[in-house]
This record gives sequence, C-alpha cells and structure tokens, in this order.
Amino acid sequence: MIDWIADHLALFLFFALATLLFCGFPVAFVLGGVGIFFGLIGWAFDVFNPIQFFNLLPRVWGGVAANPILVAVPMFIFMGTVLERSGVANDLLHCLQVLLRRVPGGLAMSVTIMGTIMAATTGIVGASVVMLTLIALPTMLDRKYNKELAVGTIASAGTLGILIPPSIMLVIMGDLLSVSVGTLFAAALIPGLLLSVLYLGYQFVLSWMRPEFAPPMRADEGPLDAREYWTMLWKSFLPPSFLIFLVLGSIYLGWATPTEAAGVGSAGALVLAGVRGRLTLRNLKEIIESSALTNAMVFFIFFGATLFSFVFRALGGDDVVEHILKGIGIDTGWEIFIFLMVLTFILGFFFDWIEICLIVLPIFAPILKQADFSAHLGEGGPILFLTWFIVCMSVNLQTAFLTPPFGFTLFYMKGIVPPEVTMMHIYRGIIPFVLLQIAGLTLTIVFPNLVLWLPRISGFLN
Amino acid sequence: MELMLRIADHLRAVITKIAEWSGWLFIACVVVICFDVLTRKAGYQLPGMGSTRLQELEWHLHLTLFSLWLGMAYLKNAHVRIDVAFTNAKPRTMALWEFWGIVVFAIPYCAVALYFGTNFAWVSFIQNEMSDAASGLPYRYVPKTIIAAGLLLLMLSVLSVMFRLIVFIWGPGHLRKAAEFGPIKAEGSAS
Repeated sequence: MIDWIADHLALFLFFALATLLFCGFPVAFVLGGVGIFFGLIGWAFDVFNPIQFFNLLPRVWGGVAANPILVAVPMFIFMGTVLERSGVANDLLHCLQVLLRRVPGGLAMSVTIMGTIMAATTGIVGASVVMLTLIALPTMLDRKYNKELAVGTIASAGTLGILIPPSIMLVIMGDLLSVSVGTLFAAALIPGLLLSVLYLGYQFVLSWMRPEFAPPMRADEGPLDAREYWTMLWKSFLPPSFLIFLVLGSIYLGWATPTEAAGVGSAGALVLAGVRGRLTLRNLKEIIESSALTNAMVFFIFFGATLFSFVFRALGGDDVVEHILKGIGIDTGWEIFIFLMVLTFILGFFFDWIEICLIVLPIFAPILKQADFSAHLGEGGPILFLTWFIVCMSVNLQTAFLTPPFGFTLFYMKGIVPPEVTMMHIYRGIIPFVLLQIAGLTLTIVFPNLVLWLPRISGFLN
Repeated sequence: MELMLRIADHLRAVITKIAEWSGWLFIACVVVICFDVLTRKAGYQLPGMGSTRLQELEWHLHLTLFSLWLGMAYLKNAHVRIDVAFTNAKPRTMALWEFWGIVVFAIPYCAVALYFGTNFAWVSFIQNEMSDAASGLPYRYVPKTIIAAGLLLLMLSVLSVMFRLIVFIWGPGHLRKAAEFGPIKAEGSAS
C-alpha cells in the first residue's frame, strides 16, 4: 500500500491540483504551493529530496528569462494594447461598418473582421472579449440588433484572437513543443481565416433572411461625401491593416524573427497612436500598466507551472501517465490525439489557454513527440504532427471557450453586459457559432493540408 | 492593527513605485529591438553594440519587465483565478479564503522561490559569471539578481495583502474600508 502510494504520488498531485485550482486563489500560487507540498510529501516517502527545488530557478532562467523567442510575448501584448487604448480599434470598427453598410448584417460582419485583423490585441481570451464587448455591444444594442446575434458575434470574434496570428498562444505552445513560431504562424493562418469566413457567411445569410435581426446603419451616421469617405479609409482602415500585414508578412517571408516583428510592430503602433494625438503621457502610463500586468500574469503562471511540472516529473509522473493511458487502452496515435482533444476541451470550460498549455503540454510532450502520424500527414517527421496538433488544439480550445453552459468566455461576457442581456441570450446566441467551430475543427482534422500547406510553401517545414 | 495597515500601505507604495518605474522598459525594449534590426539590416554596428549584445539586452529587459511586476500584479489582483464558486460570497468569507490561500500556498511557495532565487544570483556573483557568447554582455549576475529582487517584491506584496486581510477580518470596523483588497470590499461601500 505504502509503495503503491509512493509510486503514484504524481497522480495524487494531479488530482489535488485539479481540485484546489477551484478554491479561487490565483492559479500561479496554487500551482507552486501544491508543487511544494507534494515535494515535501515525496520527501517523507523518500522519493524526493527538497534540494531538488533548487531546479526551479535554472529552469525558469533557461525556459522563460534567457529565451529570446519569448521576448515576442511582451512585445505583442504591448502592441495590441497600444492599438486598443489609442482608439485605433474603435475607429477601425467604425470604418468597417461604413464600408459594409449596404451588406446585410454589416455591423456583425465588421465585428468579426475586426476580431480577425486585430487578433494581436492581447490574445488573452478574457481581455479580448471584454474589449470587444465594450467597443461593439453598445452600438449593436443601440441599432436594435437581435441580442443573440450580437453576443454570439462578439464572443466568437473575441476568441478568434488566440488562433489567428500574431497570437501569443502560438508563441508559447511552439516554445513548449519546440516548433518554430514562424511555422505555427503560417500553419494557423488558413484555419483561422476559414473560421472567420464561416462566421461571416452565417451572419450574412441570417441577416439576409431575417433583416429585422440586423437593422442597417442610418444614412446620417456615415461620412457625408466621397472625400470624407476616402479620408476615413486612409486614416482608420489602412494604417492598422497595413501594420498587421507588415508584421505577419515579414515573419512569413523570413525577413524578421517574431520578436523583431513584434518590436518593430510596437514602434509602428506607437507611431499610429502618436499621429492621432492620443499618445499623451497619461495614456502611455495606462498602456504600460495594462500591458505589464497582463505580461506578469502570463509569466507568473510559467513560474508556478515550471515548479509543478518539475515536481510531477520527479515523482515519476511521465511513467504514471503512460501507464494509465495504456491501462485504459489508449496507446495508438489516434487514440492519444482524441484523448487529448477531449481533455483540453473539458479543461477549456474552466481555464484560459495559459494554464492549459503550461500544465497539459509538458505532461504529454514526451508521448506527443513519439506519435507516428505519417499515414495521415505524409512523410516529414514529428514536426508535421506537432504543427498540426497545435493548430487542432487551438481550434479545439477556442470551441471549448465558447461552449455553453460553462465556456468561460460566456462568463466574462455576462460580467459586463447590460442587464437586459441575459445568460439565455448569450447561450442561444453562441450555439450557431459553436456548430461552425465544430465544422472548422473537423475540417482541420480531416484535411491536414489546410494547416500544412502554407508552412510548406513558405519553406518552414523543409 | 493601525500599524499593520500602515506597513501594508508602505509596502504597497514601494512595490508600486518600482513597478511603475520599470514599466518604461517596454519602450526601452522596443527601441533596442528597432535599433538592432536597423543596424543589422544596414550592415553597420556601433562598436560595443553588436547584435549579440543587443539581443541579450532584449531578454534582460524582458525578464526585468515581468520580474518587477509579479508583486504589483498581485496587488492589482491581476493574476488569474478560477473564482466561479465565489462570485457571490460575503466579503468576509472571501477575505478568509484569501488569507488561508496566502498562508497555505503563497508564503511557502514564495519562501522557497526566494531562497533558491537569492542563492542562484549569489552563486553567479561569486563566480563573476559572464555571457556564454564571447561577444555577449558581462555581469550575468545582474539579471539573476533582478529575478531574485522580483521574487522579494512578490513576497512583500503577499505580506502586504495578508496584513490588509488581517485588518479587514479581525480589525476594528472603522479600518475596514481602508483595508479593502481587490474584490473584497467593506460592506456598504460601492462595489
């Protein structure tokens, strides 16, 4: 009995974590605290030595601090925050509305397009959804939009940001599974655009069949003459689109590393904000504070997860996981793939991607790196599988974030919508988008070339 | 109790000052990256400011940015939590949970991290560690000390919040308003 417990401490560790995360205390502290507690228990069972905690620092140092790739994370967060706080995002939405004012469902489509273009904006699901809700929902309700359509559009557009590059989630997942960020940015582009097109198609068809769901813009709201129209395009639409295009283009063409693209992109965003006269000292201080808080939040989870996964491994977690999976009959590539998809889907009800990636990926990385999918993906080694897997997992997570009744995007939204929008509106509104997500996920799984084609022709997989 | 609250406020003021000051390093990091890209594309390097050094400087700035904000993010309640079960709890209950969370998770974790963090920086200092690259930056103990300092600030922020919570839970009623933390508000005040 004692031996059995000593051998399976890693399992207890995992379940203790899963329970204690719900105590409402910051996730990073819980990860670290539980890790330390189980390290001490392991010491009592003679399978762990507290001096091993020393490994925390070299690991944080090598994995998080002395890691030039991860410098892209604060830079992308900063760039997104500058674009958001300087009103660039707001103006872009207005401009898209004017462009699409004669199209059925033009406003809903504008929100989705903005979510696609401004995917860089923080990339933390909660923050993106809150931002989009604050910017877009008042306009939509004001225009007497159907509430379900409005909230469904906003929630789905907000989660697009974690998939469509430049996405900090892909930077971190790539770092964890040793896939280059450029490869992932290329791989996620087509599935991301596919989802975006599916959303747009749905919004168009629904508003065309039921025009009362999506009343058009009043004639006196837009620009009055052709000159004003072109000025607006020139000022609000082109600069941010061009900036994002430049950032992604320079990565795809191999001109710049993601870190460089993010740094230069931030400079570009500052210039855009400056030209608008919105770069006051006060604004800049707010931008810095908001970016720094998000950044510290992300990296602190790294600290906690590093300690946790280190203790998990020291207690023999790798063997336990493999053993258990074999025990319940999961050992071929596809079975592991489906198991992980289901697991991350369930976790996605409760956690943002940061916790999921940092807890789950290190645990399963050894198994993933051995999986053989050459029959489905073609020859090219494990890198093909990891690339495809990361994109599938991203789409899967996005779907989970939106799925009622738990999907946590929905709760973020409920926290800031006016009282006339109820949880039922949100649930009913999101269901069509969840179905579209499932369609997108199925296509990505069945046709891996959607993922692998672009990185292949850009030469990332040679 | 009043003394405790004063200590908590002082700690908060120090952590906030350091964080706000270090926040400007975002701009510094943008400048360094742009400078590196420009000089490299132009094929011209200023003496002593080669690409290797600039890129090392980039991640030095990066680690400073997140280290010095770890504690601040806790003070501002910006660290993610899964609080679905507690959105409707009474302030006092929430304060008690937070207090025990600090005692059980945060303090042991911070203590271990701080102990080994200081050690990590100290070893680097006595070995006078340099960059692995010949043309890299010297004084590797500086960034390592910054991480240790970040962990110290984190510990202080945890203590600061703990003192506030003690005042909030067990202190006299008139101090409760001043001891609010994040979502934990005194009864009767606007939420």
